[in-house]
Amino acid sequence: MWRTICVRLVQMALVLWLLATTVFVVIRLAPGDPTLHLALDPSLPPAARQLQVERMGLDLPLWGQYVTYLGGLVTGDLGVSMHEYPREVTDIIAERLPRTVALVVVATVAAFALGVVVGRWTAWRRDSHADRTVTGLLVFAATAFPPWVAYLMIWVFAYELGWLPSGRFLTPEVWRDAPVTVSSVFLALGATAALVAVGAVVAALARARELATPRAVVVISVTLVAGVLGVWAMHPARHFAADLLWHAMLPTVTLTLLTLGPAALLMRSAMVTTTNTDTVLYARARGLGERLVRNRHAARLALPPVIAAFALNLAGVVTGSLVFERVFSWPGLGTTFVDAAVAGDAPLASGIIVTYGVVLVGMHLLLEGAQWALDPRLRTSRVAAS
Amino acid sequence: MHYSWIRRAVVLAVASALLAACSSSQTPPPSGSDAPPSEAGDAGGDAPPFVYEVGMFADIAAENWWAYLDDADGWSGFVLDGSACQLYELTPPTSVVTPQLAAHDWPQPERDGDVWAVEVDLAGDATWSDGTSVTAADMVFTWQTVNGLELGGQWLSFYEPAAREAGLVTAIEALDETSVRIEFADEPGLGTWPMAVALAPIMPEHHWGPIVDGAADVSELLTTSGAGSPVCGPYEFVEREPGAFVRVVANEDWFLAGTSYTHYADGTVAVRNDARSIDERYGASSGDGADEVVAEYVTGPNADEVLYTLYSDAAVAVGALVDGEIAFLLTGPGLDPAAQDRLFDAEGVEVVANPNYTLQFLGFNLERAPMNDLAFREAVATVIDREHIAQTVMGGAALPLYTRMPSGNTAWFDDAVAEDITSRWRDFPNYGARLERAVEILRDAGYTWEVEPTVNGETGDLSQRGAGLTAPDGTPVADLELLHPTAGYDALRNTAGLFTAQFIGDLGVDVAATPLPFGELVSRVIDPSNLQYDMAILGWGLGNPALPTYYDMFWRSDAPLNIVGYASDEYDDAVARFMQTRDLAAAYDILWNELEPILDADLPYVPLFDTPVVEGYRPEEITFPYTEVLGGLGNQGGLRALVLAPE
Amino acid sequence: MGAGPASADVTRGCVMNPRVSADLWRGRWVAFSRDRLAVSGVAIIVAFALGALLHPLLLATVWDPAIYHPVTGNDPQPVARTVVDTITDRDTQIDVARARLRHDPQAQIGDVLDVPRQPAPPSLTHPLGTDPRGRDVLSQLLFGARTAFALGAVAAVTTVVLGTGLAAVAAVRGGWLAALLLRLADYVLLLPAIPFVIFASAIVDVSIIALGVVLGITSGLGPTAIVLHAQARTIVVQPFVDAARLAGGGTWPVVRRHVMPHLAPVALLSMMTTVALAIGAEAILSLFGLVETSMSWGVMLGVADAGGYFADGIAAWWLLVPAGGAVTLLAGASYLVGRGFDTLVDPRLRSVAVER
Repeated sequence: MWRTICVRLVQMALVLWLLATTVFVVIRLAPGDPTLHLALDPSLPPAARQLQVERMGLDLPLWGQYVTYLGGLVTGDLGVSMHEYPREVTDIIAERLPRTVALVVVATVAAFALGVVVGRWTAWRRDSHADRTVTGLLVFAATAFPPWVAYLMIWVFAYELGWLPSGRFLTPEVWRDAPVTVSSVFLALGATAALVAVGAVVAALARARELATPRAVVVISVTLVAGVLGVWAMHPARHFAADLLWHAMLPTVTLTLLTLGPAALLMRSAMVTTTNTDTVLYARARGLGERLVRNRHAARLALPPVIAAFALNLAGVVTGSLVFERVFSWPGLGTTFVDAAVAGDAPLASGIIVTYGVVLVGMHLLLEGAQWALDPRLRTSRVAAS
Repeated sequence: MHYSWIRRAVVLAVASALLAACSSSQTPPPSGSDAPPSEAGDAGGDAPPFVYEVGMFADIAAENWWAYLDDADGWSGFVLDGSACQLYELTPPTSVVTPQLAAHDWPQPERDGDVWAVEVDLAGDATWSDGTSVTAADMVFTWQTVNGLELGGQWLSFYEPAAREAGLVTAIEALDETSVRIEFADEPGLGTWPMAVALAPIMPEHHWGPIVDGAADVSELLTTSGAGSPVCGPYEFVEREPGAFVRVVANEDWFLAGTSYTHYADGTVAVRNDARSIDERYGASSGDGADEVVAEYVTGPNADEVLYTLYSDAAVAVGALVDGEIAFLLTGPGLDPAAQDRLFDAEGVEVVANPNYTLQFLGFNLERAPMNDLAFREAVATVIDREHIAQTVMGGAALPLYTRMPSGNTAWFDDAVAEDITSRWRDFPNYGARLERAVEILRDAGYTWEVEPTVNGETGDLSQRGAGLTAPDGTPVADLELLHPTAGYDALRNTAGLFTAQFIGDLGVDVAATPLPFGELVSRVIDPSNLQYDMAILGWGLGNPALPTYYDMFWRSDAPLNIVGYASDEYDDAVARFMQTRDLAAAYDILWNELEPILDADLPYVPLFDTPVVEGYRPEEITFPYTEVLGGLGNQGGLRALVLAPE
Repeated sequence: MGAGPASADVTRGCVMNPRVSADLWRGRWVAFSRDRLAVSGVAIIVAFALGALLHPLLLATVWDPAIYHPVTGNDPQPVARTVVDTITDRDTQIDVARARLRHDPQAQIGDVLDVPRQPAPPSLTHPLGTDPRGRDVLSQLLFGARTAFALGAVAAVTTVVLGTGLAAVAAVRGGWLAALLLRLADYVLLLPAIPFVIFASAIVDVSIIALGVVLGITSGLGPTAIVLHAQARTIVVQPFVDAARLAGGGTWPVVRRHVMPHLAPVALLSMMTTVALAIGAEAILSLFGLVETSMSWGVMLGVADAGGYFADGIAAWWLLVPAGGAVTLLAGASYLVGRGFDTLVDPRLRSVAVER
């Protein structure tokens, strides 16, 4: 098992190296000089541009630049942004990443949980009118043009109904002179979410392995949640956290809806293939209730491929976040990336691409681990999935 | 069965989470838009503080002056401008040079042995916001830092260090606490003195000195936050929440507070400050309009605080202004016409339209045929119907432009000469006449066609597009490419490109309009040593309105921004004299008698249009002492030192 | 990935003697035609294709290019508006500042001006109205369909050729080749494709064709190759493939005659998924102005976005619904058709479908 893990880690490092190299090659393919944007200002003497060329290390030979670039990646020095000069790329990414991760993770988990329930339901009623209607809607959600849906949500909930804010990710009037920074509050919220998630997983495992009685699990879960909420209610930064959550509501719901489509459709087709398997037939033959057969036997069989397929979709979620972040004025990694790309800011854009790569690789490894834990067939075979 | 417990637990947990979320979000009212400032009145007074709420749609990257002038974006300028002080300033709206730190009007440079020099006396009463005096040593410190750390960008264009081939300044010395001596390698033209080094920002040595000494490298200085740095301008940068907002607060001790400025139509400014015993009139009078007041104001700062809220794009920001979330919106690169219309139609928003100081043009690569042929360029300039593009297609959102000097720079614009130039290209009864004239120019030069373009004589419309244009030497004119920005980057120039290509195509040459992302467009076009295009549509911001040095930057044969390969000895000679003269009137004459006519005859550029700057503000929250200014209110940082609370 | 074990046991019954492949295809079509969602997907695609073909004909006959050209057409449709200080009715009045700036510097309150109506709502001459530059939206929509089809076709062909070819060859030859393919697919799968295309297009020019090829490659080498390889592996272990090999067939003939026909439904599924992906990606890229194209559905949305019409909700619906709807519909239809093919792969599902 350790061998497998080591091999996977080496492979992933290789993947990241390939990605970084591809990015470097693309930057070098560009016909122009990356410092040309400086020339746009007519009052700027040419000496200023030469200076910038030297500062960015562009006067080094190609291999020298490549070595510097890879060395920078390993040590976390991604250079200086041109669009947000003089800020360091690493600094910018560290600032924006938590905002995106918070949103994407919450929306993904919510969409996945909902998708399993909805997919299970439609699969069980396959080819009924209800199934066709719901599946049609899901196909719409899965293929709808994301910015379009996002604008639609803003129009309905922010403009027509006026229930939720949009256009900013916090209220400046609340935050002016704040004793805490946005990043720290985001990190605290993220830690809270992670704590609750870990608690949920532990509780579920404890239940599954029958280590605790149902009642004990409930008591522990409720205590945990109440404790976390209690700490927040006492916390001096609660107003700020509430303000952030308030603004995060609409983007999170929208991203959840957009991600729900593919998740539910995947679950549906996976369930459909399991409905006729021997396990399910046997469960039925044993005279178990439909609901139990569906939820315990069919769904359990369907879950591993859904998780696997979901891994394939992670890149899609990241892509979705690119667009809706801009639409919702959410200053996360996606907005930053699009701005950097449009402005031709190669250091920042490539830094974010590599970050995306690291995040995707990390998620991929986690999901593979989850699959491995869930699917006994994989555990017995030496061949890793894929 | 077993799972129902977990389900119940989850439902319970979610319910309690919701409950907690609701109850905690009720304690403070984060109701979004118009929540009042939570902690009112840092000043301790009874009245709520006057917060000037401004919207932006790009984050600022620089948090201090070193970085901002080194190479930062314009948005940083909106926030940081006006926190530094300098010897002299270009006083808006007429851009006359008036003293800030200096005690008197700018002195003429004098020859001193091998070099030229000026000596400037400081008034001596200016202080940094922490109470320390602003001294000559601070200016010397700034000059030494710019040179010692090799800062680039605008620092070079302000200080023009001769040692780094950026200009003529060889030394800046403090003669004593309140006088500065600046040395030049050669006789400086107006572009160097006073238009550059006299306007150079000055940084506090007692704050930045230790930081500069302790910084391991330049980037450490550049990324040090400017919060906490004493300022000698009206506002002090205090806080930035990346991606969300920036705050600056008023400098109560600003030495220029309460100064009254009266701008006259003849190009002079009367400045009066009783506390500093100043009562002078600055600027060279053009003769007429000595009594006609153009603008009149007393400097603030009146707003206790300026809060810049960040929106991710222009459409959202315009929505925020329309909804009353902000009082003024900085429009940066400009608003789409449709977004402008939303401001015009909005209730409670006053719209201000100002001429811009930009030049949108069609540039020819003069190194390639047939663009190197004057007859071809003339035919192209003739056939492009600029009125049609600006008025019909753009729905009036742009003004057709025929001279290389936009009419908005009233101090420099010559109506009579400009009208001569304009009428040459504008006055055709219809498109047919325009096309016939262009065909005639080409035919006279020896061009032939497979299919000659023809015009319907009755309607004056095109009846047959030309095809197979052949050059006088018998070679067919190759297919041409016209580069222009994508619609996503700049809808107006994108449209202009499409229509221009269509007009040129009528002459019988295949022109493909290729929209390129902006970075790509720039890298193909803006490199004088390697011009990789046929024709391109681009726009320039023109820089200092008080002295149009861009005539030197764009068309001198060896200029760094001569992106068309234009080379004319006659022009080089004229522009050299333009740059050397120390007399504004002489410079004006050279521009209109020589530079403009030469360029209009040689046509390296075809000027296309100028887009007015359209901005909006909410008069129930703020008022401005004047709203007519070249480049718009945003160019002046939203006039934050002058903005007033409504009556 | 996980597709391996899942599809290994469900596709066993699908393999038949290749000599009856005509029957196989007929059977597939019958099953496919019973899937109502898939058939409606086909109908949508056909409708868009007809529109795309119709567009040049319309421009050549009934539509005057000066007015109806999707890029350089312009129809100002002026309407009389009264100059006022405060607007009470947007359709008949114009703000005095706007009138002076745009139309007549001497305009006074109370004057009546002929003002171009851009964008204009749908009318008989412009069934879907005009955009903020006075261009016909229907014409743009049909022209955009052409762009979308060109892009979709390039991406689909690239994906299928790459994915099928590599997967089949790797499955038949096995060994290091299969290992290499799967490693490569892993890599491509983890490549953040759309961000990467955005990044690349900001640095080098990306035409519609280049975009199609890049998206085709990322899809063809990544998910498509993995899914097809898993499917192909279940085919090559069948007796008839062994028989063909023993009979002396080379790798390529075996792949072509015996493996390819059975890969087709899965390949078509991947192809349609890629088309949906490509259409969405193009719209996103041109919304940000990153693709070198003068008109597409994304550009239409970009023009509306720049003008802030999204914030107005349905006030200018003809700028948002046709383009956004077209992207959604065509991508959705591609997905539905692909899903129809998916059903064919699994014989047990097919039999269920036939029974009902």
